[in-house]
Amino acid sequence: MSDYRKTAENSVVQASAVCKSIEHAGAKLDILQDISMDIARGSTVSMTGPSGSGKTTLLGMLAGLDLPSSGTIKLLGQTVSDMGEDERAQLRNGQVGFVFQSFHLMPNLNALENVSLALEVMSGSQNIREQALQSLASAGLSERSSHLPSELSGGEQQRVALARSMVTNPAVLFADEPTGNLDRKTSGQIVDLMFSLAEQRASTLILATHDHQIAERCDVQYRIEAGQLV
Amino acid sequence: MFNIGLKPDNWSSQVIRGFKANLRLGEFRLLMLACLLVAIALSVVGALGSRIEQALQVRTSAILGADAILSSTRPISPKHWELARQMELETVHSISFMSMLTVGEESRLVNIRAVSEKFPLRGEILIKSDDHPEGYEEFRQPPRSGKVWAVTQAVVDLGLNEAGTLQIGRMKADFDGEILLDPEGGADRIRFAPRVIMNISDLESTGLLAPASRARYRLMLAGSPDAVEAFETRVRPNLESHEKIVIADIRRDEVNATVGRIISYIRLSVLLSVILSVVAMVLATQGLWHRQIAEMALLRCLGQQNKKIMARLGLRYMAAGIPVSVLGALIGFAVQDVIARIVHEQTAINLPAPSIWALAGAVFITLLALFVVAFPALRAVRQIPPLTLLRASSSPPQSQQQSTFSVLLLILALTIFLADDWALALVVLPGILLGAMSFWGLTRLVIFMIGKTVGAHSSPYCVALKEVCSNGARSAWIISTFGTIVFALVLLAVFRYDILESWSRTLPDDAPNVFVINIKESNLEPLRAFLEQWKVSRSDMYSIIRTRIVEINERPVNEYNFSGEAKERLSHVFNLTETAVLPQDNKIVLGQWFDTEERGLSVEIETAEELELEIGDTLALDTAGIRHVVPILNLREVVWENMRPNFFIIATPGLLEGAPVSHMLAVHVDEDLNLFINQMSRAFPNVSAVNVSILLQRFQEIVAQGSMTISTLLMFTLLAAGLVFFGTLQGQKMTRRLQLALLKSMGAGRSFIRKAIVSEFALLGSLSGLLGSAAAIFSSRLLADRVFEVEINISWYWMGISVAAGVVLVAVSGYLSIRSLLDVAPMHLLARNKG
Repeated sequence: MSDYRKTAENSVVQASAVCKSIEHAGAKLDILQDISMDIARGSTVSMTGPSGSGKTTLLGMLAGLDLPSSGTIKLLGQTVSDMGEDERAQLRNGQVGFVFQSFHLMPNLNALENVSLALEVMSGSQNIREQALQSLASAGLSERSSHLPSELSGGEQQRVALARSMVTNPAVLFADEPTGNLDRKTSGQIVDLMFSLAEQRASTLILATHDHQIAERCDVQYRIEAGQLV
Repeated sequence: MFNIGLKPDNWSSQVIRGFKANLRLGEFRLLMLACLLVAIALSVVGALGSRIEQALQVRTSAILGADAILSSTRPISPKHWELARQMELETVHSISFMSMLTVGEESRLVNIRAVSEKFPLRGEILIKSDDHPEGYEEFRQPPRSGKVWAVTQAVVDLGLNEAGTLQIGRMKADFDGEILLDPEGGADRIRFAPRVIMNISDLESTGLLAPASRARYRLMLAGSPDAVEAFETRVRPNLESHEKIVIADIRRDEVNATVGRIISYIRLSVLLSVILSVVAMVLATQGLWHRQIAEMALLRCLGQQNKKIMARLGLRYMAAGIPVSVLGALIGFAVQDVIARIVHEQTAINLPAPSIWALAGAVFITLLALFVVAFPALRAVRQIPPLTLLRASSSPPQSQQQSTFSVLLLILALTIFLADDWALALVVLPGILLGAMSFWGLTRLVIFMIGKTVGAHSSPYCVALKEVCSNGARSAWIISTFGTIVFALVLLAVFRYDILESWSRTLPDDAPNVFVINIKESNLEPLRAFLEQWKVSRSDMYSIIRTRIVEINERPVNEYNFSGEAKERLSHVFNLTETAVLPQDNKIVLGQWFDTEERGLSVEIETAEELELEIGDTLALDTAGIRHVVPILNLREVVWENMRPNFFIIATPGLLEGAPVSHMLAVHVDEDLNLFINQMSRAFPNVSAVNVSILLQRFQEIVAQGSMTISTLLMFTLLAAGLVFFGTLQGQKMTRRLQLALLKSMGAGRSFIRKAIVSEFALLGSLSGLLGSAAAIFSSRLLADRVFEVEINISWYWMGISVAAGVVLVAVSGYLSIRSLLDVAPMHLLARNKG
């Protein structure tokens, strides 16, 4: 898979008339309706909205983790809505990073091993340990590389998750409520770090959040209510 | 190169790092321990079990002197010799006949056995020797030409030690040794006159054997079990009426019923250990699966394809399985070697060399079991939605249901493989399956009923009951697994106690060690005085009448179409006794023991079944030409392995009037046995005393060997049970977090929670004990009847013990397993995936 950042294409993610509905108790339930957006390379984008508005669902579909019921989604120039599960995984490989609200660090891997995991998965990566250590250092956790997640604070765990997501230099970083489990002070530090790392690596940052202050730092802000962009 | 997402440049270091990381997971360690135990159990059984079986087979063959004997009253047909040669069996020719042995002026009727080189093919002949610390020298060859060996009786009667030379027919020979034990000596002890063994090359020079001479010809055979079985299969259907074949089969020989029970118990014990270990493996993989869902989803998010994720997971299981199964097989091999050494030190029994295939088999079966247990989890990987990481409501697939069928198939295959005994497999497997299903069904029913009766009260006990009821599936799972443990342990404990008990009954300290035969009526009184003088602790006297069944229900026996053992039984003269007292270890199973007024017979139950006899049928007995027609009054069960004189048919006193009667005596002598026999032979020249102490001692060695093995194997079952116990407690620990957090957040104090938890586990423990022991009692009755063929006195107090043990153990262990959570703040308990 070629590095998308080296292409002339300006759009990183494009959604066109995307709808998502599910069957619930025998009835059709619309979660997203007619969503269209075009996210430019290197930009920072926020999606805000009340709980249940559909922002996490949209984030998942933009990242190719789920498929829309109708409409088209292009990620890194490729139409993910036409791809199989493995093809989408291949597309994400090394080019897409994730930060989750619950961190999702592997409890049996130490900080360094958690970061290395992303490189182990990525095709053609070399010097895994050095790169992972470097990424941890850029997240300010050089001293904690051998610690297990249970030995780290919430903020430190999210730093490790951030180091893991950025170690592959992804073209796009998706973040779902990255500060949802952190206090305000730590949240500020994590957000600063996230924006800083994305900028250093020229990665596009797409985040779903409740926090308007974080949303306001982004170049583009989308608001979703009842499954529709408003 | 096989690409599973790990980088080729540092493949090995990543595998090692991944392995170390996995070791941090409790479920992974449990899986490794379970694999280790399966491999150890399989290796111990594969190596030790087969070694013991081989040792017992060798020992059984040693009693016969061969793996099989084809005997005939006529010279052995050349076609049998040819067949034995084709089957590549080793052969020995033996011819036995009665003749007079003369020393000077003295003569005595003896049973001469002329044998060819390589006699005995199995076992050895023990010749008395003062030069050896054991008091005897072992020989695996016949006496040299011109030499003879004779049993103590002949040595004493004829003063062979002093005379040195003797005459058999026209041949003069040198006396070369006193036989203490020889193959078939034990089996034939009642039937024959004192034995003398000579080399078959000297037979012609005796001039005793002519074509019409009365002699028994034997073709003794030894070889691989398959070859012996093939020979038997070819020969048995075409046996002439004068021929018979005897196989040294540890399962068929009645004397070795105890040995058969040891092997069955070993198999049962290992089977239960392996089944429990497989359950532990299932528990571990279930726990591991829940841990892995997030990891697999993350890998999908990071762009790893399904097949690579499956390979990654597969590698994880292989990393656990391969080293651990190899290690387990080696430990098992070492353990069985230690047992073999202990057995050798304590009993001087040399077990045959272990087979390397047992080791390889243990590794292979362990890996196969791991594959079967883990495969559903590997398959379910493709169903893990990456969205699991984004939303808690995305439900990951459950591998539990998918694994149920494959695990049941695995247990079925292992049961059949390990039991090597359909009866055992057919009792244990349905026992476990029915037990598990009934645990589940009954538990759900009990839980439902409790739920209906429990009201709303502010009490920890009420909370405990509601917790059990509201988590019906979890409670049923815990009860089912604990119940299976109780089932396995009670089953093993019952049979261990019962088998050891039956052995001590079978071989009491005062078991007879001398048999005295050919006792005349006139010897009886002086003999009693002789026994009193020797202060023997126990003696049993029996009358012996040699008779033959000629008619059944007034129809000649040759008109019946009997085959096999029934046919052989009817074609031979057999020993019958007359007594008014039911002999020890005999039990009436149909009818009543003799009334003082009655005249008739008591028939051993298996003989009756073979000859299709019932109470009221009449038998015509031909005793030295005198014919008696008598009714059957009762049917009797006999413990053949009790090393006492036992009889197929017993008659009421005086029934066979006019028949020639001799007597036999079974006696236990505490003091110098040889002196006792010497003095008896001098005092009663016409009687024959046979020393069976060495035979008895060898039998006791087998029992000691079996007893030690049983105790060792029970330890493995306990370990496996411990793993299942631990795994079950670990498995439910995660779900307790929410329960504790909710109780705490609602203001429940530490004491309240402790009481609620202990009460809940006590209830689960009592139900496990009750249901597990009930299933074990049910299965043990079936096993006792179908497999062990013993009477067991299983008491319902096992149920009481099981319930009490269940309450205490489960309550204490359950509480201890989650005690650490009691001090954790509710917020922390509620936090998901905090590592």
